[in-house]
Amino acid sequence: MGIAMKSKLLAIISFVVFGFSTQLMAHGGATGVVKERMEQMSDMKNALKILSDMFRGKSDYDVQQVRTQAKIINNHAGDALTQFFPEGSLTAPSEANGKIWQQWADFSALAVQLKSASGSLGEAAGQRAVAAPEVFLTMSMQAAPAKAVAPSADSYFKTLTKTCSACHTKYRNE
Amino acid sequence: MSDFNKQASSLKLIFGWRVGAFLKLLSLIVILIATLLYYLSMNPSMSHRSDSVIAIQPQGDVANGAYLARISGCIACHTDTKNPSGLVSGAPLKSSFGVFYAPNLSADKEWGIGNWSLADFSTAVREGVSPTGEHYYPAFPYEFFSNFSDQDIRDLWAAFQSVPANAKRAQSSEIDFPYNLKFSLPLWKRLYQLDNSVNTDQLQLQRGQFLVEVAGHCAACHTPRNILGALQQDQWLQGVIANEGGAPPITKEALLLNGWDSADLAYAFKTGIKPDGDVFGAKMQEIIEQGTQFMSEADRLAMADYLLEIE
Repeated sequence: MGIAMKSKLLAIISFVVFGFSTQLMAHGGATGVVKERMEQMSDMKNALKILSDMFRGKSDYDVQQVRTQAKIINNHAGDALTQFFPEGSLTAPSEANGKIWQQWADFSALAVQLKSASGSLGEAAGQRAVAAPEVFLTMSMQAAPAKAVAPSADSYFKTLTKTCSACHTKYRNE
Repeated sequence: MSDFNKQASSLKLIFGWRVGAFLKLLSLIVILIATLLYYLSMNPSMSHRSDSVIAIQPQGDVANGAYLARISGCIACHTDTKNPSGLVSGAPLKSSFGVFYAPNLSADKEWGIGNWSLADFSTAVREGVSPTGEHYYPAFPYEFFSNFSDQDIRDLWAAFQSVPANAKRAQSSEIDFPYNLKFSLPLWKRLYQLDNSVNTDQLQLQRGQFLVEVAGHCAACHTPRNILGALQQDQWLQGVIANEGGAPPITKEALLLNGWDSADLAYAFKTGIKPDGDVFGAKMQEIIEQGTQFMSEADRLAMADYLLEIE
């Protein structure tokens, strides 16, 4: 084997070994669209942590920070989210569920709802709810607030997180 | 076929039987032998109905009953959100034993519980026996509800009586053989009676214990079951693997290892948001949406404190 041939072989081995190791570091070996959407979800999770810490009073409420984090989620929502879900992209370590493509219209609608809720949260960031709505418990599934609650950053944040959980419940393997 | 594949195939077969069929046959044999032994040893005068009688007074508190019904999952389990109508029938509850449908709990006299007495209700909820003497499957978590106090039962009964009658027959459960052999249920209940008592003199932990171990029946999902569906009490709250239902461990050690503190847990019970910003999906989100979000803040904290305190 000539020197050039050995160098080429070494380069290939290095690429395979180190390239593969680097990919393993990011999201447990995810590649391609799976890696991109896992990074996207990670970005949104980090934004939601900053938001939830403010809404629960663990950190100071900062209107500008709410807008910034809402914008991060907004940029990843709608088509920006669904573009990373080509049909059948379930390669490990993806946590996505195959129902996504059986119920694509619903999945897409949730992505649009995420866009809308995060947009509304950014716009209403300066309007905090005065108090949590009082809820009457009855013996039916309907547990409506005692009176209509004016939209606020708090109510949009709740809508936003309910959208996340609705999507995770249907389309993420827990 | 490679050696590996041959080994894998041989693991799926025991004496030529597929493992699933083998386990079912084994379950049937165990059930039949145990039932036979039970009936042979049973006192002939023993009744399947409890003789305990609940006092009608004092009156039940409808508001507290509605609160208990909410946080205990009565309303969630007996309502199908895709076809919501007052406590008429639940959504299908799929399990490895078959599909369960929670029955009509409206005040209808034919299909609901309109003809029941307070004592009937108490026996059904705390002992898992219907007014006609039929034993319920433990998909109805009466093994946890046995620790409801008399006053809890009176409150729940008062609340259930406020549910309008709805004359609709709930879908019958579709239980696989041999689990559909209901005559073995009294023995099952005797063999696997829960002993989940924790002695604590701290009021906060007592309330947490009631919420976690009785009303909330957290162990029903977070504790593994044996092949007969009984909770493995030596693995209490230690989690269930994905292909058997999938629920993470919620022991003190597991929660602390994953960085949870009491405030985080209470906040997650209210919102579904985890400390790292992730949001629950799957079954836990339903529990939060239909149950724990309606708890008082004090109750959510009591649950969290109990989970993080009890060894």
